[in-house]
Amino acid sequence: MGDVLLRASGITKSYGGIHALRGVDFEVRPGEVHALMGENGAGKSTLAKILAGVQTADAGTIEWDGRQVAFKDTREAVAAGVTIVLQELSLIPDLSVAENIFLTQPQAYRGGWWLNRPSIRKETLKLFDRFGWDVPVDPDRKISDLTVAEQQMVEILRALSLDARLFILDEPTATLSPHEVEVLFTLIRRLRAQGASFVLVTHRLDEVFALSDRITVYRDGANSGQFVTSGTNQQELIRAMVGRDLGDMFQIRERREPGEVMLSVRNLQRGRQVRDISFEVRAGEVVGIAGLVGAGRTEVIRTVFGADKAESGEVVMRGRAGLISSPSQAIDEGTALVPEDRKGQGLLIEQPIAQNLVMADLAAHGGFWLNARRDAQTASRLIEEFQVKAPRPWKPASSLSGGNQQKIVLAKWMAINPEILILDEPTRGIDIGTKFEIYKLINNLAAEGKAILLVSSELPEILALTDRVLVMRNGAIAAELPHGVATEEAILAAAAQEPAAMVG
Amino acid sequence: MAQQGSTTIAAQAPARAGFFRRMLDEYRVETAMLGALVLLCVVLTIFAPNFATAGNLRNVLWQVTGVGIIAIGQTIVILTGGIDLSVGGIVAFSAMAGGLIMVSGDSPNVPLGIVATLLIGLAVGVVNGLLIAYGRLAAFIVTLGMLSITTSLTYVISDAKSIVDLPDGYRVWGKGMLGNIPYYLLTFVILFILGQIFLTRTKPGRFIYAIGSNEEAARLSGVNTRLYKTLPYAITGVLCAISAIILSGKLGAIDPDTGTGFELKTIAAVVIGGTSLFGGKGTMVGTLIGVFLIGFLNNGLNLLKVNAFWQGTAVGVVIILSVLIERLSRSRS
Repeated sequence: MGDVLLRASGITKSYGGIHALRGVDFEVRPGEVHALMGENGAGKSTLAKILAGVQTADAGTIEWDGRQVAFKDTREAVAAGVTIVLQELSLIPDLSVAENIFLTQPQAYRGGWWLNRPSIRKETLKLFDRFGWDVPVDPDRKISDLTVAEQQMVEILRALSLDARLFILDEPTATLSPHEVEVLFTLIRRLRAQGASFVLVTHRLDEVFALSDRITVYRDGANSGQFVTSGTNQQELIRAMVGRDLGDMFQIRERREPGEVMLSVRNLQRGRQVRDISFEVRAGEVVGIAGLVGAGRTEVIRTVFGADKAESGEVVMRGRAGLISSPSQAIDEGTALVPEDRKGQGLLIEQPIAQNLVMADLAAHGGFWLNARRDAQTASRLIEEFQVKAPRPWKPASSLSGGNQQKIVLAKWMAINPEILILDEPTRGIDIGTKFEIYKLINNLAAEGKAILLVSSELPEILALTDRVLVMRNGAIAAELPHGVATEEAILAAAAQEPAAMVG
Repeated sequence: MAQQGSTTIAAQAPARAGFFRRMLDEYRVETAMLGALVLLCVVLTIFAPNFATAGNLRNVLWQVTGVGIIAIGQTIVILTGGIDLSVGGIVAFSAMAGGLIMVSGDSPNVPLGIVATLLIGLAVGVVNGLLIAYGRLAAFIVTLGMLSITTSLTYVISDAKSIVDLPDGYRVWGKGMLGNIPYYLLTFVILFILGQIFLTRTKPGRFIYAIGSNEEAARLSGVNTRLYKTLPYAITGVLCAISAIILSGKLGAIDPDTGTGFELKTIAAVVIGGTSLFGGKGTMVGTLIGVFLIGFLNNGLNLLKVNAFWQGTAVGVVIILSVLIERLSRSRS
């Protein structure tokens, strides 16, 4: 079989007695995009890390280019031609974009020692241009000044600039907006045509069908199926991942006549990212916010919630006018925010699951003393209601899978029964099963008369769930599209018109 | 019958195993350090003939009290992800300023002196907290600056002289006894219990862990993070003042050098007790174990007639070992 670049067979890996992988197989051919799918905890990321030398397998063999190998670390893997982009960013926040890209490259240093700034700046711009990133960041900007999406693009482009034969991308699009995703996909197709191979770890079915040649699915750490992309369909893949049919998750929403105005934002202003924003959300309504990365979506909802201070404008919650100047004030007015960065802003990741679940309740109610029994009851009720797989609620939240962590962030707010919900990318990086449950939750909450503001980079999700879509561009609302009028094309057109002169 | 019996046992066993497992999960580091403390005591009992005597144990209790009281506050500060380097300065400054106020009149006014000392400790702590929480300055820098300021002001107001001939009333806290038990020991025990209750049973205690784990997530959950970041420094300031009164009372003089080096001693006790310097993780019980581990270690070296210069080396080794134990026990889980 000369046409196999990499073949892994019988890979087994366990962490402290828990089997992450139980004898799985995987193979990649030259010039192939091979998607690796499965629910959270299925073992995709573990396999990706083993292939790239980040971790080592307990058992099993890996053949690379016809020879059996066992990469001890990423450096060995890179030397052999295997490069991985992990979910966690590995950029150095205080260095510039150019410095990060060329940090370990000899051409960045004059005489082997002295950093050659003008040269790496030029090289970086050349790289972005060659890779077709049409709205690139300034190479001299610090990484910490970039948005998460821009950082992700830099991270991916840095990896792709290495001369590798196999690129492993673990959820590369999780933080990208549709436009950046398109740039990335074009690039992957071009590199594939030149003979490079890709392993694409992802949850998104639309991406798999848009890009991959073959698909391997794992379930609970074991092989669950291998498909040729052109010969399969969504239902078949979902069955392989989940083990059962889910029905059509994009047909879940029942729309009805919205009620009174619950949230009214007037002329909100904050810096360049929040410019004269006005909109309303009514009871029983789901309003979407779409837009490119850096268009100011997250900044708008953070300002509405009081997490960042508004320079001017007005936020009226439940008909009560007032300046919201802190999250606790917004919460008092019956508003909850599920932030986009689950680990960085949503969870106390090292604190027990149960304590995470009662945080909002505790901050909103209760006196000086803790009520252990009440807290335990709240936690176990929420765990049951949201079907969180948390057998030991005193364990830290970090012990849970991404989907279950996201359930904790949502469940935490349900304890105080908010009237207005602001959800920022609530389904990012979580598996299909949990995603479907969150869609059902959004539908049920809207049916109960809650007002919901939904930020999402996944257009199918926005279209399926919302009554209206606000499209943002350069910190302002560029268009408002009601359900029925809103299409992927219409949203993208409104979001990308007059491309930003400066990205920020 | 036999079948029934075995079912009952089988049903109970997992529950009990679950409880122990949970306790071990939560107090892993503390358990390890307690083991080390017990081991140290056993070794000292065998090799140092004077160790296990009432007189010596009382001696150790006295030696750990001054630092121990302040370590309670330092634990709370470090749990928020902060640090208080100014404790030694607050001890000297609050004692000296309060003492000068006490003796400023025609005759010494003991209640005024004690209240003034406590309020001055509180005030310095509040200033620390406000600068850190509302001014968004780094705790390390603010309290380092405050250490320098309070130490210097102590010498300015006292002209580097001790206040001697303290009134008996002032010395009661440091010297007095309730039956067989010294007041300072009672104070330490009560404050420790209050600290333990504060951290485990109250809402502010829970919020302090939350802030130490992830300040932004806590704020977005509705926690008034600035208030609860200020509070620990205020508490520590008061504890410094209490420690200062006890130490001066026992000594019989208010010395401008009281409290020198307390910042590192308290931090050492907290770290040895398993509290993470990054915040969010640690317990009051751990700190108590840390305080006594250092106390017994120093005392044991004394009894074994080891040159006192070696004490720093011993404490340093224990600090590094304790962090190593924590790391190893975590990577195994």
